[in-house]
Amino acid sequence: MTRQQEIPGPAQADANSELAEYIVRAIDVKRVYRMGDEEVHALKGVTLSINRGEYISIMGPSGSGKSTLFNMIGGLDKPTEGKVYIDEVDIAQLDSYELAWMRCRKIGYIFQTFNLIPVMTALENVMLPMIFAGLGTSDAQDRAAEILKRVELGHRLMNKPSEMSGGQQQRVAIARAFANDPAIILADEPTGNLDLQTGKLIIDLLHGLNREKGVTIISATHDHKMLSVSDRIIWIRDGRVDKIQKRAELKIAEGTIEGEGGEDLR
Amino acid sequence: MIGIAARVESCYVEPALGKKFGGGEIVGSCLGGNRPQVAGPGLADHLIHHRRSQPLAAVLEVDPEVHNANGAVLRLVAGHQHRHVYLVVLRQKSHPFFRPFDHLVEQELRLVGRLIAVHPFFPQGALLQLPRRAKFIAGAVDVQVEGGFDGAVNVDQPVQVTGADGADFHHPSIPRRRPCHMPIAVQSFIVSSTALTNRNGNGMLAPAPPHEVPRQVSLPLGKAVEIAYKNIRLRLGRSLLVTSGIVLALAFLMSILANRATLDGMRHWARWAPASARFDRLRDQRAALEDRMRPREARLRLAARRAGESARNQSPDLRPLLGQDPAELQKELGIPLPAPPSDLAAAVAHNVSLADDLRQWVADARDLKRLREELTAPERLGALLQTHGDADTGQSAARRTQTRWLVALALLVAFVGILNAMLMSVTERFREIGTMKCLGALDEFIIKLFLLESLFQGIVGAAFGVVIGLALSLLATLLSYGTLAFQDFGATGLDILGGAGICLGVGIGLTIAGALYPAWQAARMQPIEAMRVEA
Repeated sequence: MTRQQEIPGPAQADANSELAEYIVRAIDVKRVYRMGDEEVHALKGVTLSINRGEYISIMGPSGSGKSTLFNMIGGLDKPTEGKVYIDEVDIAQLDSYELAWMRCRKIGYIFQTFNLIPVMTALENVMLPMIFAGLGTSDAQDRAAEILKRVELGHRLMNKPSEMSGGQQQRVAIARAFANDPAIILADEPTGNLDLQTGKLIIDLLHGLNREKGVTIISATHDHKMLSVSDRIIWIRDGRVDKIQKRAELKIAEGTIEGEGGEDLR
Repeated sequence: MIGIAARVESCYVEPALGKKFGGGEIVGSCLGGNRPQVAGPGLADHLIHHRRSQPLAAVLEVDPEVHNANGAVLRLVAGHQHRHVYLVVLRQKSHPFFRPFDHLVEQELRLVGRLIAVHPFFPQGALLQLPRRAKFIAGAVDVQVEGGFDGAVNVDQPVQVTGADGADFHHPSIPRRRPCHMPIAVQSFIVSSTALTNRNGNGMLAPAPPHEVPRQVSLPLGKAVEIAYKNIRLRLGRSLLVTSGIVLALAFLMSILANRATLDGMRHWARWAPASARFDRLRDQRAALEDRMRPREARLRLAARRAGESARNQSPDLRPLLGQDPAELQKELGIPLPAPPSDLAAAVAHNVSLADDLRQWVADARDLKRLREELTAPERLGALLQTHGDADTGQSAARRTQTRWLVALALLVAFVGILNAMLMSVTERFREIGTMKCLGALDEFIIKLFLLESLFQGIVGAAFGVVIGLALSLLATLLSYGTLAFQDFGATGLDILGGAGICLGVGIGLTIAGALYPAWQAARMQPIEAMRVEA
């Protein structure tokens, strides 16, 4: 509890006056799952704020509540207690239509397993969220092609996911996540199913897009390469925020993380 | 004064706390009963309308003397945990000439809530429906009354907002415009209910957040059709399997319907055709023909008898004249020649003009035979129906019941097949559905996706089933009854068309019914499933 109150955040001092600085705020979020008669406390009170345009990594061992927090931030799950504000909107108050709107325009999702729609080409996959957002087909086509070019897949517009490599699929997924110019990109282990080299490319791409578009990127990851591009790293342990490190602090400790500290990241 | 209950059954008006604010405060008490109750002294106004059908709605009348300003501030009483909350907004200024307020309904209102009714008798009142998230609030709602009739605004004073604890809070943002002299009040309401969610600790309303969250509305039908079609193609094998089930069941149904239609047609024809006008006409034709043949026959017979005695030994032949063997001809015509062939031949040899008579007689006899066959067709069909056991007897009722059971069974099997295939399709695509939901697909879109997929299969399967069933049935009838089956095909054809319509309807209905539950299950799925990583 005490730890949560000392969460660093640049805008914390004038939090009341500049609410819009935060793209995501979680206030004392608790989540309880009921499994039979047993109650599982996945989150035991998490408070954190994420600034607009930040690159955040959420790290923690499996079972730490990392995914639960991640889902909460992405508007995929509602807290049992506490509040989650996305762009200053309390997600618990939204009905399904408003949530769908948020997911469509405000949040872009990148999955570990890519999750492209198998029957659609790369172009159609990227167009889909635009169509959901009400964009006309020809406009969507132009924009989707443009974004795909940005992720260097301009030559594979008409390929189905099954005809592409993992790295290419993930790049299509990234393009799709950026389709409606979201404010937040949620990446769930984006490099989890990729080899080292491809993973590095994906991280560079995400980092580049983060700088370019000023979009907030929040990723849950085990990948150490991710740490070096993150502005802040939020460590979750046992349903609570363990520590929050800035990159500056990290730089010093980087050797440790890359080297001997690697074990306890798992 | 604020109560929280499961539903708002009635609301009450309390005189404005301060008339100077230009706004009345409407305090709705949440009471369980239907009967309005007075919630305390000083309640000048009263409930004037209470809708039974919408238990959360009530129209309130505000005493114009008390509320002599135009802005309205409501204290909302929310149904706790209830979907909708209704607000009542009233105009305040009284005037002898009430103008109907119809235009208000047509206005595109800038509301977070939705205008649901304008009371016809109390045109200054309007019911607002707030979105569900207002359910959490039982307190003040910020209502800005902005418009007015003819563009005038009736807000002379800043709108008053009363916090839950009674703390006042001014809204200076409302523009002042020309005061309206017409007794028409609010044209639009801006109910910023998100302000409610941002209430800070001291009961004050925080300013509305910078972004309002709109509702997702897009349900691209074209896209749904496209995706459904592609999915069918991807899973063509299973689609064919499902479709073949539908084809079989509907072919069965169709063949039975078509069979029944043709049999009914045949029975009807066999029974009623002899009494029809067409058959009267045929009978007349037969009589005329017989009349024409009789003198010719007599003439031939006479000539033959005369010639017979003299020419008997010459044994001349009729074959060159008739073009075929006389014995065969007699067999073909079904009646004997007017005289023995040898006698006829002798007569023709004796008198060449008789050859024309004989030829004419043969032609007439052929016509007569055709006519007789046509006239006896119903009887022959009746006999055929008897031999095939298709005559309309008491025992066929039992057989019909049996067939009905069989059809029901076949349809049930097809239904279960569809249900199973669609359920499989849904389970297989859990992640895909979750992903689509993450991308902003609405539940309705997902439902549409699966229903369309099923519908395509249904249409194709039903169409094939109808064609196959009809072909089989017609073929069987043709084999049993020959051309007699289609003597009266106009009416039968209509019946068969009706049967085909029924089959198509049943097939499509069946596939949709089979897809309903799986589609609902898919729509209910949480987008979180997309995140799940399976081993």
